[in-house]
Amino acid sequence: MQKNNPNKLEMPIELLSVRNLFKGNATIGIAKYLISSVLVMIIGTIIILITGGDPADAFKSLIKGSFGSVNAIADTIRWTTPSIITGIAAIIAFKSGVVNLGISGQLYFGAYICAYLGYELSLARPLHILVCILAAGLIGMVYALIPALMRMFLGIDEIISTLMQNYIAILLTEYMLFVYMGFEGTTLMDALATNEILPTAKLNIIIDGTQANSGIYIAVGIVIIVYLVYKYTVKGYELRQVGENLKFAKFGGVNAGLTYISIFLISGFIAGVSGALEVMGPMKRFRTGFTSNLAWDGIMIASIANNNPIMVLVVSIIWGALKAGSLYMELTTSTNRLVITFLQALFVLFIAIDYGALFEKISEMLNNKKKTYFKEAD
Amino acid sequence: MWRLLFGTATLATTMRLATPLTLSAMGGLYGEKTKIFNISLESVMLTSAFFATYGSYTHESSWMGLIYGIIIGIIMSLLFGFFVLLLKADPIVIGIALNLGSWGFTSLLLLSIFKARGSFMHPRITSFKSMNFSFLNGIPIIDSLFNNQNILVYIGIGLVILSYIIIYKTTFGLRLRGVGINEKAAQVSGTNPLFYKWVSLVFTGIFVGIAGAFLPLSGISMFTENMSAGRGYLALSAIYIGKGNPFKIWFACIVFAYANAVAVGLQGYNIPSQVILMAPYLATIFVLIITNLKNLKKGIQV
Repeated sequence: MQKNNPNKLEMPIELLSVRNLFKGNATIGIAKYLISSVLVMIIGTIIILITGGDPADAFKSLIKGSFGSVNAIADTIRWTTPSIITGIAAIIAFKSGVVNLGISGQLYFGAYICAYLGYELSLARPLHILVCILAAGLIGMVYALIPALMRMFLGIDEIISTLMQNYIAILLTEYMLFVYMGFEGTTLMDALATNEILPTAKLNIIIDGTQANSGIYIAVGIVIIVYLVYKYTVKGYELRQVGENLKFAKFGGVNAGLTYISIFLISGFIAGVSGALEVMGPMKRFRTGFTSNLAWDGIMIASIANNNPIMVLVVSIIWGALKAGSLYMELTTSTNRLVITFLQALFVLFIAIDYGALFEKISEMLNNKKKTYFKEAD
Repeated sequence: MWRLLFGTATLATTMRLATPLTLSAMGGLYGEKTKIFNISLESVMLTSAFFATYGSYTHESSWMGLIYGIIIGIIMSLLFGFFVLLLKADPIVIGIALNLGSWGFTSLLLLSIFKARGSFMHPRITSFKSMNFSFLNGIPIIDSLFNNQNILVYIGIGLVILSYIIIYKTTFGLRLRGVGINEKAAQVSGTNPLFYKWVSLVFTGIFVGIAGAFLPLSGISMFTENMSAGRGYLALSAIYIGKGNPFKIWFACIVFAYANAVAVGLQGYNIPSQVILMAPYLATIFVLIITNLKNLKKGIQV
């Protein structure tokens, strides 16, 4: 990549594997998911027992809190929405070999601009929502343009630049919030938020008295569009090809530079939209540090879903259910919801293991043993 | 204004804030040299911080806390190696999962061991005492920078020098760098790249473990949820800015810490500190752009 330049830090060899990881591999098998789920469940049971809880009780309330009642389902829907969109933002990037770790920053800017326009503009209802979503997407896109250009023209790896961008976005939106809301009476950081957005910018509540909103339709719509684009259009084919084999794609006449930048921009756009939906749906206003993990969840979901848009939908529902269920579980049992956060991370760890290579290695070792055994026998 | 920028409080805080950054950057540097892309410094630091608190609490000794921190640091670092080197999992996904997992893990332990939510403070947790060198008293800037700090600050400075010697002046360091520059060539010349990668992970664990132990044991004697608060990522960017040279990295860490210290000082003035807190991240991006400007004429590269 940057071999002509001895002064420059070369990117680690292992890094290249991230570009291979997200290739669609249909033969990966259900076994991997089954083994991981069982392992996580066993470990979860042990942890709950150690911390003095009742695993059966915790599990029951987890189910009850996610699917047990209309309210529970509404909560699941509320948490599924952001998971889907950040997950899609992640797979668009990773599928084509773009390591966009800046989803968090793009989301923050999207949320901020949406909260701002949601209060300041006075428009008719569907238009207001549309403007907010588009503005949020565009700002996410502009923010993603910076690392994309840095990568394209200067060869700076996007991993470090997008990571830095996250912190800049969090602090800059915080600062803009100060400027917007005025510097007076701002000693309480947590209380600092924008005004509630106008009713014309709020998404429809689809189950009365809950936080489940029509953002879920938008999320599912995005999944379907992305799925169709990848499956049936030439552009989708090109995008996939860039991820699978860049050299081959170049020979095939794909404009790699243009494709690369458009992937980054689309990923940024969707990340921005996810911020907007958080504000227009459940949050109603922008708060500093309103989400710490949504974007990282998206990347974890993408890695579990193996970059398949439909799988993102499935995994996101599980993620949303776990979130809703764990909040309920914490209220009703002695088990803390952090158990679930921990187990989710553990699940990702297990899924990320390259089982194919592992089995190969083990069988190789076994074969070697056999050989030495026969030698001794001779 | 003068007091804010060069006052004793700001300079002393700078050195104190620079220590965990420097230590974790030095730790990450070994991984960088062997081309292990380790974004899990954050998780190592956080877990070490928790167990340092635990060690200090159970033994009422800051040194025991430090030892606990280092041991856990090594374990966490080897865990990363276990997944990435042995099981060939993707380092970025593993890094993210470990970072989030350790956040949940430590908060969970905080709840189940100390029955505390958010933060835990107890008189049994002993911090490192600050040390006074009488011969430094009264020397203008040196006094505020280097006097009345706790021992880990001095250890941190020592470890920067030690890292430089290890990496650039020993055969071990030569091989370590060789593995990073060209793994195949190193292999042909008889070094085992995998061995050096594991060793570099142990170094990462020790250094970041000390950095983690520093957080709760540097005077405040408390553990708070997600205590590392992005320092692991900041250390990573210091490595990039310093281009892998221990002294340059140290300098970058001090500049970052200075920005942070000024921001802390600003809180009394009712001026939002976000712009200054942003400086390290902006600086990283600018430095990356400037040092890579020469790539511009190469044309579009993906």
